[in-house]
Order: sequence, then C-alpha cells, then structure tokens
Amino acid sequence: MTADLNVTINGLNLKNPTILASGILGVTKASLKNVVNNGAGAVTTKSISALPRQGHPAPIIITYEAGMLNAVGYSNPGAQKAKEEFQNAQTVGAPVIASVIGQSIEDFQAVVEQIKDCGFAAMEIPLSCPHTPGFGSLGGQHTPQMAAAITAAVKKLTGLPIWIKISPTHQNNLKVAQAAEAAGADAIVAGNSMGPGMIIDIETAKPILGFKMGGVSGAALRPIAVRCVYDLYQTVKIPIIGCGGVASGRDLIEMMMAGAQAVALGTAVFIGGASVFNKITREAAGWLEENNYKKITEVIGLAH
Amino acid sequence: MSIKNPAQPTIVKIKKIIDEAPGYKTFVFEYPLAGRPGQYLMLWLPGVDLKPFSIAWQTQSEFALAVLKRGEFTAKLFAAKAGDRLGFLGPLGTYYNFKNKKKILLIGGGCGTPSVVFLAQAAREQGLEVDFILAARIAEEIIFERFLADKGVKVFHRFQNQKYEHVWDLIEDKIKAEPYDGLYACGPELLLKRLVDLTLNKNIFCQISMERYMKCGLGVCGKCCVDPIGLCLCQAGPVVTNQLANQITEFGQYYRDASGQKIYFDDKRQKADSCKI
Repeated sequence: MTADLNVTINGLNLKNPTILASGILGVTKASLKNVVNNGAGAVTTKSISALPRQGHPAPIIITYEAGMLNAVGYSNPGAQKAKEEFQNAQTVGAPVIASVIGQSIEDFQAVVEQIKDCGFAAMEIPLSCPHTPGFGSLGGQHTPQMAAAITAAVKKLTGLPIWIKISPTHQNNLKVAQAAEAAGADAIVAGNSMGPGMIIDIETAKPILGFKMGGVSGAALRPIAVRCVYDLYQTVKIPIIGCGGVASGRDLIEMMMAGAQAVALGTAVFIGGASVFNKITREAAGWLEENNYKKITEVIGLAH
Repeated sequence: MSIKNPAQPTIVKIKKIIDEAPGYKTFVFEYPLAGRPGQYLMLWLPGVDLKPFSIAWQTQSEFALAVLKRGEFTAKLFAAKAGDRLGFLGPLGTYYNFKNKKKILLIGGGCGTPSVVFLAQAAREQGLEVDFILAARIAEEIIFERFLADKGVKVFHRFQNQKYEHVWDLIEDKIKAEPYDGLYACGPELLLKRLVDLTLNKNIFCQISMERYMKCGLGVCGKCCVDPIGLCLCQAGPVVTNQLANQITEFGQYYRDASGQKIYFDDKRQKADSCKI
C-alpha cells in the first residue's frame, strides 16, 4: 500500500510536503512548472522587491564539504515585471508561494499590492536574509517589533496566507516567530540560511564569493534547522515549514518529526537538480510503508 | 549528502596572451582541461566577478579562451598579464555532436566564434572535412583565419569576395552548393534563428550555441531559464539542436538580464547586452 503524502497548510493542499525554497530556479513561471513536473508539492518564487535588482557580483554560490554558501543578493526584475511573469500562477500545477522582500514596511506593501492578484497561494516574507544589506537580518528586520509591524502591514492588504521566514540561528528567533503569530502570520518558515560564512581561496588570497560572505546551507545547517523547528513546535500554534539541509526521504521525515508540516528544499535542488523532489518523496513514501504509517501527517511532531 | 564539487574555482596561471584583433585576445592556460567543443567555463577574476567563456581550443596540456573586450569584466581581464592567477569552474554545459559526420559547415560570429573554432579543431583531428564561415562587420574583426587554415579548415568570409554584402547570402550559397551533413553555429541570435529555420526546412542536422545571461553556471540562479520549457541553458545548453531551439519560443525574441527582466532583441539600445561582459 502506498503511503498518503498529502499535507494541508492554511487550507492549501500539497500532493506531498516538499516545497521549492525561494531563490532556486524561481525566476520564471516556466521554470516553476518544470520543478512541479519533477514532483514538488509547492514552489516558491525568487524573492520579489519593489524595484529591479541586479544582485551581488558572482560567484554567488559555492559549495564546500559540508554544504553551500550563497550570496545572490536578491536579483529580480522588480514587482511590476514579476506581476507580468507570474500572472495566472495558479496554472503552474501546484501552489505557488510568492517571496516578498523590502527595505521598509512601505516596500513590502508596494510589492504585495502589485502581485496580490497573480494567483499565488500564499506569500512568504523573509525577515532573515544574512547577506543582503538593507534586507532581512542586515536590514534590522529580524526583531519581534519589525516582525509584528511587517506582518500586520501586509495582512491588511491581502487575504492570502502570510508565511514569515525566520533565522535558524539568531538568539531571538522564537520571539520573532511569536510576534509574527500574534500579528496574524499564518505560518513560520524555519528557516533561512545561517551565518553568514566565508570561504577564502588561498592561492589568490581572496574570498571566493563576489559579496565575500554568504548564507550557509546544506548538510551543515540541517541539525540546526531541525532544532529550530523542534523549539518552534513548542512555541507557536501556527504551521511550521522546515527548511535546512534536507536531502533525502529520511531527512524529510526527521524534519517533520521535529514538527514541520512541510519542508522546503534549496541546496538539495542545487546538488541534485529538480528531480530531487521525486527522489525524496519516493524515499519518504518507502520509509513510511516499511514502518507501517498510512499517512505522512502521522509523523508530524512525533519527536516531542 | 555527498557534494560533487565543481562549485569552487580551480586556480590556474595565465601562460600567455595572444593579440588576435583589436579588442580580441586569446588567453592560454596550462591545464589538462579535457573539455568538449561547445562547452564553456565560468572564469573567475578573483575579487571581481565570474563570467562565462567558451573554450576556443585545447591541447593535452593547455586550453585557451578567446575574449572580446565588451564590458567591465573583460576590460579588467585585458589588464591581466601572463603569470597572473585566475580561477574557473567547468568545463560546463552541452557540446556539439559530430559523430559519423563527413563534411560540416561551421559559422562563427563575434564573441560566438571561439565556440565553433574549438569544434573545427576537434572535427579536423577526427578527419572531417570542415568549411568555416567567419561572420564579421569589418575585415579587421576576422579572427582565427590563420589558425583554422593551418588545421586544414576551408575558411570563408565576405571580405574575400565583394559579391556578398551580407554574410547570410554567403551562408545560403554554401548550403546550396555543398552536401553538408551537419551545420554548427554560434553568433548573433537573429542569424542563428534564420539558420535554425532554414535547416529545419531543408532537414539538415544543425546545432547552435545559444547565449543567455549565465550568472552562476550551475543551474541555480535561473537567469538563463528559457520559455516555455523552463530549463536552464547553462546546463541544458549552450549547445542545442535546431529542434530544441525551435521549441524555445523566446529564441530570437528576448533574453533575461541580470535582474531577470526580459530584453527584446528588437530593442536596439540593449540588443547586445548579453555579450557585454
């Protein structure tokens, strides 16, 4: 018997709990479709700002033995072009989550106003990017006060579920999540990459990333993200989307046992390509069957 | 999770720099690259940026990149000297297939020329008969003519014969006159588009190298994702068949810039930006 992988978050039905994390392959609707065709349960767009952004100089991504560093710098064509690009997002074949960024509350509102009728299923607000000046952690947004203010400001403009993406490592992250929940957030995404970190090429004595430092993700991040989700599960009542280093069916189950209702994949897609969604869900289904679970939802929070 | 690691640059020294034409230089590196014709590298100027370049030629122990000075990055690269250390990721991407071909026609234009020069070298080493049309606006921009002739490639360009005002007329004449069993090209997209239409029509095997803004080269940043198939050309390309090119509806229409914004080829102001690195 095949295990049931369906999950429901904020009333959205996902055929399985995997979500394409923001920042990977989410520039065009066609590429999101391609990821859905490869088995993703939902997909997130690349983050959308009010105005176009070129992003950081390259290299924007490097890998190392324990994961990956990235400093993409939020390159995107801006809200107006994004609105054209993602029009009728509901036709992609799975829920499409819009990632919305800003340097001020007015910025977030301007983006939401532009794109709220594109057919998105939810909006994700990252308050936690560790490597882009003016945004997220470097923009002073990762505080309970800002989390509450930004959440309330965007909730006013749209009835879509609002997901707040927090840092897995900042000491105040549970307070940020609580503040967002109190202000009306519908889910917490835990979380962003950690750090930032740096890798230096010793032959040329230069940091490799164009921005010199970047968010750390992949295998190194997984136990930290799992712990963060575990803590959140005891702190907030709204759904939690786990994100950090999940690369196999076992990792997926682990993250859900910590308390995640769904799991976003980033580095794994980078390493394994879009087909990693099918691989991970197949592995998870196999594990559930071997262990006599009928539904994947049975494992949520099981580690508590 | 095991990480295959092409994502940190390999560091190499510039062995020598050859002046090809005004604003065109070949950078030679000592390194057994083992790339295939049509593949490219992401070249890293430490502390500056990372940009894609096709492999222009290689030997057992060396490889070369031919660079047209077009923008900020290439200006800084032109300031480099023999002995300087640079990094690269690669070889990356798809490559030209010339298996079982006998007589092929290659077309190279502008910063697209090196990609097919490497194919000419490899095809001659396999004993194929190779004709090569060099597309250029002015005679001074004709590059690699001697290099190709030395390899036994027959080189054609419109400055040899006043008969041709446009390179397209030369291309059409060659295709009419010779029994080519494969056509390969890299150059201005609108020229490639005509070639794809022509070869599909005449049912001739054809591969082109299609340029898109490749920022990471690793299939992640998504700037080179093409509509409507949604694949990243940094990995599904740059070399594509005429059939695949024909499925890409943006081919000959637009590409995306560093921000992901569409730039239309009919917008003259921004026409050549994808090459301006």
